[in-house]
Amino acid sequence: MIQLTDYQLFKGLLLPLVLLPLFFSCEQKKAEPFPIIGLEQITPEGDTLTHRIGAFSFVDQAGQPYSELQVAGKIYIADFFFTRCPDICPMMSKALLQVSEAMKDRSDFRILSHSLDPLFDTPEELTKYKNDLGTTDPNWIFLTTPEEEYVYEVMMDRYLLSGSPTGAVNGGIFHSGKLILVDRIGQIRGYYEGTDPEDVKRLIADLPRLYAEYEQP
Amino acid sequence: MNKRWKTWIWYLWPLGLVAGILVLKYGADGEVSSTAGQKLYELHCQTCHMADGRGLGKLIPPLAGADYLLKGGPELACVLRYGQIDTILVNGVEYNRPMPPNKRLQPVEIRSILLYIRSAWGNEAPDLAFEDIRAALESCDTTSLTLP
Repeated sequence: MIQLTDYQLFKGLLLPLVLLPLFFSCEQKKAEPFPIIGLEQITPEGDTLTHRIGAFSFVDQAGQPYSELQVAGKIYIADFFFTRCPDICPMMSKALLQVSEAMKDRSDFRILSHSLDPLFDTPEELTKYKNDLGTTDPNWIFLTTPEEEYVYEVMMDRYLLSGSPTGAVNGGIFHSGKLILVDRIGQIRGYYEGTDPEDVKRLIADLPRLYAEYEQP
Repeated sequence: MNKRWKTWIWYLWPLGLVAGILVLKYGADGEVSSTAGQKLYELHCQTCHMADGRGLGKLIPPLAGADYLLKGGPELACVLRYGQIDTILVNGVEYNRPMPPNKRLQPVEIRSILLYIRSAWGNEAPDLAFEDIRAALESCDTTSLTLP
């Protein structure tokens, strides 16, 4: 039987246990650059155009028109929900509450929550939802439209998400729980699962990185 | 012979350990456990009432520390299965958004969920008897509940 001295025990067992985590913590995970999502188009002149959200026209919770001009030069998160949504929307709203809290000091940040049930979700209904959610963040805008099909067109053609007003699930409306990260010039830079707390943490960590992209020379 | 038996013990004890851990983790078969309730809660309730049972603002009532849940009886089973459209008062706060029905939930599943939500997050309400829950489900007053 081999007798281990305290020192041998320390060297053989404890030292690696202490040093291994140190080794891994030094190995820095290099952050991936943000992708630019969507199909590129080549102009007749040979220029490459990235996919942009482009012009849109909604009505906000105060009943005022809201267009792409109000997010020009800003980074924003878009999502698609509706106030009568029985399943995933509360988690998305909770996630956005965290994002809103994390970004409250940035005047060049917005959250755009689009209603997929716009005929029911009037500006009054959206104001009530925002109040009941317990947020007063002026940079969190709830959007509706008098034309029901319009919001679906925007969701599918601009934000490149799937959805349908006639799904068999989600309270009759099929939609995605994604939070969409849009940069200062309207390019989609990431999708995050609004119902996954880990992905929401990733989004909150990613936002300052996307701002930093503009600050670097 | 004795020695061979000892050798077998040496090889088999890890299997026993694994079996022991599995029994501890998943519980004995057929038992109505809070673990089953938690799984069902995650599937049917958590996206609205949240993993911490705290609900969401004035949109969705909390379950953690909720007088409505803790003081309620077997009739709570009706809310789980048929949803609710009435305005309800939870800890003095009014909630008036409808809760959707979960019509496929079986009495035993409803009991598991109630057992879980009435004992999680510091909640301490007595377990409800299966017979009482089944009886309550047969006489739900559906006028105040979400329509099919």
